[in-house]
Amino acid sequence: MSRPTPPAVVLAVGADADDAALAALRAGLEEEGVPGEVRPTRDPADARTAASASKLRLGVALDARLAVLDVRRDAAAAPGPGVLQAPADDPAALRALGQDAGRMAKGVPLRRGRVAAFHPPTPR
Amino acid sequence: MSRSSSLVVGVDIGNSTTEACAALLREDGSVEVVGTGLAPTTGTKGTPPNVTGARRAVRRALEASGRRPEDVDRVLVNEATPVISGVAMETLTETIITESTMIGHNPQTPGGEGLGVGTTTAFAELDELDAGAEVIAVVPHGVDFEVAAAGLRAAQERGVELRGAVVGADDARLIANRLERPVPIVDEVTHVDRVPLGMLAAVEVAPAGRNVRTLANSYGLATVFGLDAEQTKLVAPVARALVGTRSAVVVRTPAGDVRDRRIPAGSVTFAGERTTVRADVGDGAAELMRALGRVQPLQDAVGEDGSHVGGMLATVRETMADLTGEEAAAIRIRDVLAADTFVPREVRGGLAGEFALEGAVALAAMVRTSRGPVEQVAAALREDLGCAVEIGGVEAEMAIVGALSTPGTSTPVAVLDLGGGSTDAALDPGDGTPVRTFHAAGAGDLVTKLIQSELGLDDLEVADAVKRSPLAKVESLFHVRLEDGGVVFYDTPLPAEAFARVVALADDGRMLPIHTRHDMGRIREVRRDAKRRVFVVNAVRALEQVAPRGNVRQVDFVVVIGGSALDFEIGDLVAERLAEHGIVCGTGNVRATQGPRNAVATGLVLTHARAVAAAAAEGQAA
Repeated sequence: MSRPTPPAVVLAVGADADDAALAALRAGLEEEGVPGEVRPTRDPADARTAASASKLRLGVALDARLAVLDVRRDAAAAPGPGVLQAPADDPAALRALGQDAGRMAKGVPLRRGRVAAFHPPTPR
Repeated sequence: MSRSSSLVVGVDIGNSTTEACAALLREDGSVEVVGTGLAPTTGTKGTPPNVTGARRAVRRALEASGRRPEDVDRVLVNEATPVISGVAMETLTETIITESTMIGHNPQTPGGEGLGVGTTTAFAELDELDAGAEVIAVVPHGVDFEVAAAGLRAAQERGVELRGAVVGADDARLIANRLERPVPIVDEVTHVDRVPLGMLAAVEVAPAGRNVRTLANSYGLATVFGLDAEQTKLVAPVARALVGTRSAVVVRTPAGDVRDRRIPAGSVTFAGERTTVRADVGDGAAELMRALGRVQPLQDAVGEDGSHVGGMLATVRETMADLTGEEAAAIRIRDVLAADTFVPREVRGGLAGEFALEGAVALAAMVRTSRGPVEQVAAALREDLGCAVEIGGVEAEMAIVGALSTPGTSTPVAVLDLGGGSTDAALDPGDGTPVRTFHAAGAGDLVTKLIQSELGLDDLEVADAVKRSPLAKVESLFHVRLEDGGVVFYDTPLPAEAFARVVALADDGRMLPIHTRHDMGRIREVRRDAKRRVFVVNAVRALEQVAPRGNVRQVDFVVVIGGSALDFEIGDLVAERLAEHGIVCGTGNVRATQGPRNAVATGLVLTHARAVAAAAAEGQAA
């Protein structure tokens, strides 16, 4: 029987991912004081599966090219590109993505820029 | 078109909106409204540029029934009391930090915990220190957290007593986590390069959920820095400025100081018919309004020469003089509304972009002149539309006629017109005696201004949206919580940038994120309080001026009309207050269809129809 795991943002990391990129992501989470749990994965493009495995309902997928943040959704939800992205060769953007993942876990506004007025989707 | 009826359009040019009511008048005196139109007022109310907006409103009123402007027989405009209002904000206090003595801000993620006291030392010079030196390290922007942590750790290993750190970047927790013996660290200090070096300093970081204790206490500061009684008096403002923050830095410099400065705001002299009363703006809104109350009806108000308020009242006077071609000296300020407010201002001399809430007074002033401009507008409109244009009646009287088309109303009735620039009251005593009117300075524009400054919003459009709309908080990417506690869920995610933000729910269905640190409850409170300070105060003030013997209880019916009556809560706030007087107060529903809109334009048409019918009856009798 496996021990219960503490809540964490799940980081699904592909074999081709750069160590420095992962370090930048984790630094962002650490500054926010939010735990991250690294899980090597064969399908790093899938942030949604990572989010489904996270008790914080947040997953980041990292490969050699891109980091993608997604949130847990219904199994029936349409596939999509995740909610935030950062290029894997931009340490500052990766750090910010990690920090924003931490902030999302804490329920505080993100670091990234302002958003203008928008039309919300149709309510359920 | 048959000559047995004529097409008449009533046009009401308001401060912000121009409304039209198109109607067919039959010879028997019956009226059939065929359409209403609305357009933003072009130019200042009562000036020839109004023609453009008036033409649009007329066209829109006609479109509904497929009629053309050429079909119009007569346009009726209202004789508006030319009121313009100016709004100004006077800051009464200012917080100044001299010689950079203090950093009191709330980085979201400070590092370490506790209180540390030492000498401020540049990060690059830590190597040169001897063992035993007690230091506060100052880490500039651009130093990577791994490098910073390694440097601090090395210093600790050499025996340097590292007591705390001040950091430019958002790295406090990352650095603290990499120290063997963590120290309190304050980060995100924008102007870290301005922190004076070689000075005794204290860094305090409170545990999560708590505020700094030692540095927010005058005697705590005295203990840390070994101050005597005289010196403690001088640092008291520092302690006060740090109350409520989770982290803080205080640097003791020889002449450093934080001061609360009171700015001489000047005085206003209110001249009534018999007496003249002077009040100091610095004494606050209540004192100003008491002074004004003692001289009503106000004949003029003058601000002290050379003071802020003097300048503001002079500007209102000059704008009105330009408008009417009258001498500035001949313009009289006939009403003033003062409201206490506060303005978040960046602290002068601050190192981390600290804000202090400065006390302020907001003023709306209203000016009245002799008639004149309305004639100019009528002439310009006559030329533009090529039909008869006449002044159909006085605005207040027309408003009453229009408001009385609201089901369930009767005289004696008071009409409260809540507009953008002024709050107007008109009372029809119902016994044939003349309609009494009062124009109070301050309305929707002042509310927007108060909301903008109190929430520290840099965008007037957002302030306006906050005024007009209920709020919601984006609690997750898939749901928002409304200010009344309700929740709305979505299947597709909201924009990530809106996460955890408070948004205004605009009428057109959009969400406008409000960029402020305040939570939803606070924003709602500011919004409602601004409306109370302007509209509720003015409703009572204006009714007292028109009510018999100044007794609001003598009024049976109050009908609320005007653009601001469309607001989702102002009408309720006013009704709630007037209920205390046992008055039937509600939002008008002009012709049982128009809500609080179109009262004056409707009144113009109905009044004209009655005059035509009366003339016809006289003709038959003769």
